[in-house]
Amino acid sequence: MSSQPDKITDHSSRYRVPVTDSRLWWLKNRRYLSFMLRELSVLGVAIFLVVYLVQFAVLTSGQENYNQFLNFMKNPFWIAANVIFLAFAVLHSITWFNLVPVVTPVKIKGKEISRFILWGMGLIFWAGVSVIIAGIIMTFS
Amino acid sequence: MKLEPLLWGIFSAGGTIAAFVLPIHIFLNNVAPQLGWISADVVSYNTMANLLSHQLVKIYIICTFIMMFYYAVHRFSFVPQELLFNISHKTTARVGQVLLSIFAVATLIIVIAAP
Repeated sequence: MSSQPDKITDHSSRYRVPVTDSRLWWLKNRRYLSFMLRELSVLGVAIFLVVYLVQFAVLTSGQENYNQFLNFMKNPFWIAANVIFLAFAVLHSITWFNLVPVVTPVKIKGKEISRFILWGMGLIFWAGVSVIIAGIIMTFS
Repeated sequence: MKLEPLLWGIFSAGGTIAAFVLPIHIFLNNVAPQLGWISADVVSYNTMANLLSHQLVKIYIICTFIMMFYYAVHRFSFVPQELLFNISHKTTARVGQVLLSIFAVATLIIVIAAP
């Protein structure tokens, strides 16, 4: 009687909202999977920020506690977690800069700047900001 | 809702900040020194205390951390619905607001109190 609508297999329209009963709909194609991974990647962002705050708090409590905290952060579990967070952060950066030219196209003298150039500029700014931050932190160490 | 565009605007700003600064911070603080790729001095007590003694650094941390946390919370507030759990977005958004408020207050206290 109840024929299950299997609209998720129809990719003719790129922006169709999938209608499905399956909680695992995002495993059905790479586009959905990439979307869901990016959605879930913010867990890494939140955990990183909270742990960094804890690091600042421990810093205030004195050098001995802080060194203990640093040792704790060296255990393989945390390193593995942080490598994953880093991979997700990089994925976020790249896909975010892919998105920027689409959301905010730039026109100069009525001519639209190519998305490829805007994307490249995003990556160059990203590299520049990273170098500046690394430079500042290295200067203090 | 008139608030909706503003919320997505902050989300977008937070996402942009995260795209620019998050990878380098994770790399320099949590990955490279621990794996021995760079000197552990980068995360040492003296380095951190020196950095945090600067008002500009404190302002930078407070602004970027709260914006990035907002980005994370706002994005995650839609995940339960996307995974077809029977929770309204009103509820998850409210939970997110509470978490964000706690995080923001904690950030202000911890960063201002830092040496």
